[in-house]
Amino acid sequence: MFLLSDHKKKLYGRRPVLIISSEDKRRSPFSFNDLSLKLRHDTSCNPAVVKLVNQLKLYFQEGTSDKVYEIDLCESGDGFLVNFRYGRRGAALKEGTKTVFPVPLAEAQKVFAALENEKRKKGYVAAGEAPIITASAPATTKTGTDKRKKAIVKLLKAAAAGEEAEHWQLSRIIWRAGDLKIKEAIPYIIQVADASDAANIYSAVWAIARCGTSDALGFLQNLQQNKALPDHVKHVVFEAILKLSNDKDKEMLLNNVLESLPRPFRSSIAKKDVKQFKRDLHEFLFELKTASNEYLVGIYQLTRNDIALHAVFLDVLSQIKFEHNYFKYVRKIFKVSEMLQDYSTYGVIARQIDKQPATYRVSYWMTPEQKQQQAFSNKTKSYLSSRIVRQLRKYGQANESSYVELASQILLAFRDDQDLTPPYYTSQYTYNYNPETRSHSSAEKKTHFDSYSRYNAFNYILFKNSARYRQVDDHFVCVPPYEPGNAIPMVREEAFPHLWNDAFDEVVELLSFSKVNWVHDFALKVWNANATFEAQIETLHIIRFLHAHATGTQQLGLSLARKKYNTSQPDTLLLMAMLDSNLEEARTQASEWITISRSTLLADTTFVTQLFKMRKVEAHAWLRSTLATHALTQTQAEVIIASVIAYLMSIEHDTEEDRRYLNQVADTVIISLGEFIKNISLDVIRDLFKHQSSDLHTFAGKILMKHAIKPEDLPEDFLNILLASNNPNSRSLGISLLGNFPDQLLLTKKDILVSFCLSPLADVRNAVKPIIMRLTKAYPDFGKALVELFVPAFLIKESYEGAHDDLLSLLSHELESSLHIIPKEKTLVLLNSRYRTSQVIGSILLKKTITTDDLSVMELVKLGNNPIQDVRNFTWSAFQRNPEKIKAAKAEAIRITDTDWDDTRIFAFDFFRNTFTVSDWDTELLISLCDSTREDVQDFAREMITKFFAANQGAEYLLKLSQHPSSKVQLFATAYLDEYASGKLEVMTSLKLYFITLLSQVNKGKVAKARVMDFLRKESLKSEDVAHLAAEIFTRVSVSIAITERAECIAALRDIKKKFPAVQTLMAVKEFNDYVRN
Amino acid sequence: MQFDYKFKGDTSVSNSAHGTAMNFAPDVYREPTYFSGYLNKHIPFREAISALHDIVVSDFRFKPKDKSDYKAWAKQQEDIWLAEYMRGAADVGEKIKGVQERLSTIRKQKDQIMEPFHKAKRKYFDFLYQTNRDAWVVLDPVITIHPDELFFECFSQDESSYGKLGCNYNVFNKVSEFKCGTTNVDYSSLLYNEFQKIRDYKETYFNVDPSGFEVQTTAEESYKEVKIDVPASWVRGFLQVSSAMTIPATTFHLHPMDVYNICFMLRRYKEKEGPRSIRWILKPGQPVKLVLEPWNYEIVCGRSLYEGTSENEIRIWGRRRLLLLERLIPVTQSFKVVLLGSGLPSFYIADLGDLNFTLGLSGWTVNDWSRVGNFDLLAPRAEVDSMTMQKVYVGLREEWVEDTDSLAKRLGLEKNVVLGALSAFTQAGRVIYDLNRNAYRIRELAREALPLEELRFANAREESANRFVLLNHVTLAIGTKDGNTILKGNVRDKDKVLEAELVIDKDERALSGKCNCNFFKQNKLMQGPCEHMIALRIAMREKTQK
Repeated sequence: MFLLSDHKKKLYGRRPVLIISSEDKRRSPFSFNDLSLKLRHDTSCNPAVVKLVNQLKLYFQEGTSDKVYEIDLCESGDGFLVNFRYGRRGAALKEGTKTVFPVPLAEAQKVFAALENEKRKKGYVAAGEAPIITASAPATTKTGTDKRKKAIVKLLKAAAAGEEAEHWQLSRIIWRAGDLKIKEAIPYIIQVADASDAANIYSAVWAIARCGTSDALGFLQNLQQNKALPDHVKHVVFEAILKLSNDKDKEMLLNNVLESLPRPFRSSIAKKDVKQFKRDLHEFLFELKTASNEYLVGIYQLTRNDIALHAVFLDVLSQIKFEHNYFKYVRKIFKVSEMLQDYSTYGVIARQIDKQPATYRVSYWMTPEQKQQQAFSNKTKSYLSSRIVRQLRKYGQANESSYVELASQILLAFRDDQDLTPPYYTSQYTYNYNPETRSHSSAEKKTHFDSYSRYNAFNYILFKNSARYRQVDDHFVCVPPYEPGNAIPMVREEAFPHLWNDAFDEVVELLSFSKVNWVHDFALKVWNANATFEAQIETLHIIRFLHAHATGTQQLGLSLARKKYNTSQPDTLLLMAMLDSNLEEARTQASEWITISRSTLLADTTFVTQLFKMRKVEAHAWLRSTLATHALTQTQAEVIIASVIAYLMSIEHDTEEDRRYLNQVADTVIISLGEFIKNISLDVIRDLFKHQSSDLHTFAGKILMKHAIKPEDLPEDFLNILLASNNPNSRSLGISLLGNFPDQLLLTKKDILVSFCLSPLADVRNAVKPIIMRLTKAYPDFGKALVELFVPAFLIKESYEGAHDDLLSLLSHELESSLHIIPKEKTLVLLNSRYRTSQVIGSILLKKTITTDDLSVMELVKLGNNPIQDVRNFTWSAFQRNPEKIKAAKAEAIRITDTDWDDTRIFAFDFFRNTFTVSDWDTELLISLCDSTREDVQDFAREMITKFFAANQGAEYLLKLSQHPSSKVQLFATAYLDEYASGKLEVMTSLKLYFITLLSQVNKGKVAKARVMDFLRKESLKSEDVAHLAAEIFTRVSVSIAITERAECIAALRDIKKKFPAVQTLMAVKEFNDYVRN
Repeated sequence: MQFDYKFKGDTSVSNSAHGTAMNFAPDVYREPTYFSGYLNKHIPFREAISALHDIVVSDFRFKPKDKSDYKAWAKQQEDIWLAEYMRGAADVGEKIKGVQERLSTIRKQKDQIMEPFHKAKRKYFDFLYQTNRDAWVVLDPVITIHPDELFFECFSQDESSYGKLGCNYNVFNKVSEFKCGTTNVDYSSLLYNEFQKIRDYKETYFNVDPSGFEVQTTAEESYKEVKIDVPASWVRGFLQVSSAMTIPATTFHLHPMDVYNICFMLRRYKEKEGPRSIRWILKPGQPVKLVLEPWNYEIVCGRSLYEGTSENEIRIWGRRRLLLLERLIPVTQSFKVVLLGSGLPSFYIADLGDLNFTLGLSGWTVNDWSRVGNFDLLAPRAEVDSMTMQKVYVGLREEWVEDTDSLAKRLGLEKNVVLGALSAFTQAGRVIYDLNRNAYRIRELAREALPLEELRFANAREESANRFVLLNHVTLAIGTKDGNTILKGNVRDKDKVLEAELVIDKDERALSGKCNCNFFKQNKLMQGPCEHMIALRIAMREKTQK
């Protein structure tokens, strides 16, 4: 069995027994043997088949019958065999052979041909072929349909007479009558209509709406009076009346519908304001999300007769999500569109049904309330999806032309850019157990899903007869060996090819408007198979082909154009379409043709105007270069300009693409017709400015740049519109126009210029700079005024990030010459501000306008702390140049040391060391220097104190420095103790806190502590008053657990006690004779 | 939690050889509050306000050592060591030596070249730090002006220390008009530096400037708006500490040198392992004794007798925060210590004569998850209706400061009711208890009411843990093993009973835990203990308190 040829594998490929999963094995250990047995049995009638020579597959479709017949010509040993298989498509095929034993090739071929012929006679066709219309085939189908219709009428007639059909429900019969549009049945339907049976009456009204005439109106109006009818029936009754009424009544009915709509729609639909309608619809559906979207149905009724509004409606319909509160109304519309055979609407909804995911899965425990809050379940989706396919199939089988109408509208609803899904595949692994090797081997089976695989109706239409795809559940999967991306077979694959062969209009429509490449492939196949189509083609179609979505169709358009074009009578529309085509070949061809009759064509202003309207960049490039070498007359140019401007003002300018197009056309006008727009009327320009589009304002600005009028004579509002525009191009145009003004005039427009300087838009600021520069040079007062205005702005927070930097660059470049007018105080404020940019502008001002004499020492000191190096340098040089001034205000001057900047401090130390002499320093100065919290300043101060110390100052130093919080300085002060405190009770009393502080330093200050202890101990023995003081201190400190401190305190207290027994201590002295320590 | 302030200009200090003038810019969003006077007690004020500053900037949280430099070096060195180890032949060794020499010269050159850059970079970062220094201070101190006292309050960055400096009006002379109230002032490190320059031979003018409240409209920016985003945990800590003051507690006095001794031991020794606690041993009529763990060093405060009636032993943690008192030792006459209990907040009140300085410490330095659920100071204590609440508040506001007895008498309310209302206001940050005077004072911490419900619990787990204990859904067994306390118990959560276990070490830190709840299964202890473990902990607290 493993020697089976490819052919054989194919033969049995569909048999499920071939897949042996491990599960199967477990279930039946003998299946392996069973399988081989079965295979042997199957091949027994075709012994030793080796090679397939020829194969033919024929298909037959009619009514519910869908059959296949396959014929094989095989080489077997020394002869050939003809085998066949047949059966229902998709099911297991029965098979047999025409040659029991191998026969020579010639004979086999004969048998093969005879068999093929026989089958073809019966109506079988190969895939992609139209069925051969034999004499009998169409007749049978026709009579078949007729028969069917007659039978239906007959049944209805019987029903009207009171005889119920046995096997067919009456409501279904009525429905079928409507479905097949049997007009004759209407009178009977009215007779059998039964308002108490919802299904019956619904079908009746439906049938009447499909094929009834205004005769039935009376019946319908009667029905309308019946209040007991269910809502959905009432709805179709209304729709039916709407369809059958005459124009006047219809208008009245529609007016009623209009009144029931939300207010915005009433005006937009009545006025046919497409844009407003679109905006309202989007707002209501997607933003407001109103509680009920009932109005959708009304909108459908109102818009379906107006192409533009209907297009908007369809566009919105294709975006609606099938959710609660939306789907209900969409479904209503879907039903009505089917009834009214409004296939464009039907198509859009059909696409949506396949595209939208089901919003929930039905499960049996869901309560009705829960279901009510949901819409579009998986069941609904699959029902509707198969219903659409069924509808297609029924129309197709009935050979109705409705099939192509419906199918083409469904196909047109798809777009590659929205619906194209990437191909993917799923894998299924099959594990086989080999008992001999006792191991498993696995095989991967990939199932490929091509793009669009989930769109059932789409695939049904395009690929029903394809060998590449077949439907599995709700997807179309690839049939091996085909995989996505493989070459597309040239045969036709669609369902009901013969119907398409008659559908010239639909095929042309698909080629013209479809946005799906596959649809174009399909339609091109149909086109190529029908040579008669070409004869019916018109220029308009060719133009559409040239602009079609697919390249193949464009090429078809080109080849058709080449056949159709007559050089002696150039078709301007065709030429334009070709010039504006995607195909380079088409453009070259068109420009060649234009060159042939260039003079006549370009003299035709209408044609040239039309050329301006082309969309493609390449087309405009061609136009610009062509017009550059062609001399138009003034009159011609003016006519062209006028009509192009009129055109520009009439087109849309909403989307990015619209604006690009508009600018492109406008630029072509400026480039190609620049010399002619000099004298264009100002009224025209005013009209452009009045238009909403800012791009048209830019265009107007460009015209003004080329215009002969002097800038100062321009109406002011033109300029204002340009300058206030949101469009950067407009603004820069406005400013360059402004720059053309004479200076005198500009001076009066100072406010505008100032506002530009402060504008948050960089382009505006940069554009205005040259103007400012020019004016400042010529009129210094102008510059001064600006400086006065701008400098204070540095002290306020930036209005936008970078405002200060921009102003800074303006002031330091363009307005530099006027800076000197800023007063000193302002400069200082700027320098001390917290914004860096204002410090920078301050430093510029400082260098330019201020001399050292202008500043007080206090101010200089403050500048010494400025973050900008140049400013600090300024202070230093001021100090060095005016030592006398500094000395005169030394108390202020020493505060320069109190700065965060090391360099300034280092400078200050040097300066004071070198400049200040004994006479300049005094105790107050030095102590206040020492009071600084900076250690280096303290060190410097101590250095100076030591250097310039005079004996009479000691006491003051001691008293004042002792209060210093720094332990370093406190230690420094101990040096003065012996000299200036000794024996002075007052001094020592005032130093009490100082002593305690020193002695309370935790785990530090050993030296200071020792000095103080020693000093106090010595002094306490000198006088009793001091002893009191010292004893108090020692008593306090003696609590310490630090042994040395404690010991010293105790020793000192002991000595005091000994000397002055009257002094109170907390200590009791015990004498020990045997242990004495000094 | 966002706090918005608006100051008129900056707080300014002008300093000369003879005098200092301090102008504080108050928050103009608040009710006008002002004060001005000349300082009388210079040095004590200077030292006390510096101590307050130390609290504001203090951060005692554990910061791990930065070893990244060493690690980078070791990584580089590793190759060399490896090569040295691996070298087989002598010439390879030679080669390596040559390469190493070359490398080291190259590195030296590189360092030389890069040095100015590194220096400049460091300088730049220093500069950034200096200029933005004020951003490091979490919340500016609050100044409250009362008829008898002016006080500053602050809370540390690590959310664990509270400081209050109260100055009665003897600290000032020539006090001109003032208006009672509470305000924030614009505070900067510059101000700290200027405080250091206070001397008693210099006139010092102290001014909470009222001019900021005058309306002024010019183009210049005279107002400075500050928005500070304060962590909720910070506010919670502040409120917890201040409401802890209202709880009755163990009190005794210490000699300033006793505090010196504590600081001395802490400065001299550094603990490397737990428990890092101080054990206060209080016996009636005997000197206060304290033991510093883990060394068990003993300090006997010979001049401070415990005057309480019962023997008590209280452990507190986070003792290094006591170093904040160091600067006060020389100027203080005595310290009053208020202990709420083991692991609970403690207070140290320095008596500086006319000044008093209160240092409040939360139970631990780090209020992280290892201590959660240990106390709940923000729990409502007494139910008082809102009308009475309002009455009590308005009554207190008339006098600004009053003890409960006289307030109850004046308002004709029961003392319990007044006490309940006042402690609720304390929890909300609108009133504080003055430990020094044993009276309540009006002090609005924030301009707007604080969201107390949000603040009470750090997270939802803590809240539900509290609920379990309240509803009696917790059964607890306490055991010990290796010196650690083991809590085991069942917690009934809805219809499930969960078995939780928590091990607590001597520092009362949660070492490990177990629970069969989902939170624990998902996070282990990564995000803190689950609500059931916290419930065990709270249950233990309840049990030991009983």
